[in-house]
Amino acid sequence: MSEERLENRLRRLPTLQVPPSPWLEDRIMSAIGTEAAKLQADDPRRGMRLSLAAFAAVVIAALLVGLLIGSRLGAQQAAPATGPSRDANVVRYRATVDADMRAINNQYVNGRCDTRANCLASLLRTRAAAEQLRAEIAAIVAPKPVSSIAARVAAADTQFIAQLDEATAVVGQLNSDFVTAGATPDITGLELAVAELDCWPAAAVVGDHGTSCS
Amino acid sequence: MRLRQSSKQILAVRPQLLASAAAGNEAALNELFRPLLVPAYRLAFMMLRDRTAAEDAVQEAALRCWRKLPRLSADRDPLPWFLGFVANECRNARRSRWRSRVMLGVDDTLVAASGDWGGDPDLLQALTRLRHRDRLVVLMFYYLDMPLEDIAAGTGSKTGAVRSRLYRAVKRLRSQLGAEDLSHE
Repeated sequence: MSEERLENRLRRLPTLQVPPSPWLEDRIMSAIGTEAAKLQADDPRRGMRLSLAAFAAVVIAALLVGLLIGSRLGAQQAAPATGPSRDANVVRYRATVDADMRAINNQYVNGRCDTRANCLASLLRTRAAAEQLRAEIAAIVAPKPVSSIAARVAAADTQFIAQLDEATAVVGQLNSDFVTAGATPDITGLELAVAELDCWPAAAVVGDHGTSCS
Repeated sequence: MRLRQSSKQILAVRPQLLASAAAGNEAALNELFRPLLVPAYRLAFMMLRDRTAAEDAVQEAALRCWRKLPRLSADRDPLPWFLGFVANECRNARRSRWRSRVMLGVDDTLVAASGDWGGDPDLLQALTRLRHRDRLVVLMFYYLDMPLEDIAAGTGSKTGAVRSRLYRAVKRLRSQLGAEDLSHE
């Protein structure tokens, strides 16, 4: 067998379907939750130790952020800025959009489709969060430099809402495959549009493991 | 609702998130673990070829990973780290299945070709004949499309060692599949 032919066969591996395991995520999250509760009950000092660890982590993170900002400020004096803009209007606008996006992501990622009712409720909560972003973008005038990106965010959000509506209609029908329908809405376009806003004037770069600014 | 992994979520790991997840905070656990579970299950299933065994392996790996969360540094991608736990659990699952077969005479369904999941049966059969570490590297690279650096991080090896292992494993696969091609002729 030629090397090229084997390579082609191996490259087709990702198209293989594995048997679905729809309840695996919930089962594992519940197992960890139970384990955490048990450990905390067994060892009350563990909670304190973890709180101390959390506090130490926050302090270290704050120091790292300070160092990062300090080094960036230093670098900025020597070279032109290449990262996200620090223009006050853009920063304020970005913070508003990011807060709404976090709310959408939170509903989208944590939503459950283990029952039709839960699935429907998750879709509606995600839609409400997406609607909030749409309303906010419509109400606030975007700073001029990012106005075109804001329009793209609005368009992507509208598209996402349309997908949520479509999925909601299917999930609402008795005997429909609500698990598949619930997984249909795709947030990628909206995430990318918001990443563009977060990164401006730098570009958003989609890598193997997420989005970063160029 | 979400069945796909959010790679953006995976990399958005902050010290506070890790600390909260280690303390058992539900929201933090969800944010950290949920995006990791789909690729972990896919890998476990391909390693074990048994749905129940794969689910058990991922659950055990998640529990072990959670207990060791304080050791995960905030700048490290949690996916390869977690897949390292999954790989260990898959190896343990195979060992325990082997023991149960030897001691109790139970069939080892893990290496039996199930035939009901399509794809390329000859290639899948050849994959099951590879050693655990070789199969793991091939699956992480070709099936999960992970870069060599991440595979090295997950398997606790150096990138060069992973590259050599992958090369050797593919060579073995080629010779196995080549032999089968000849026998079919």
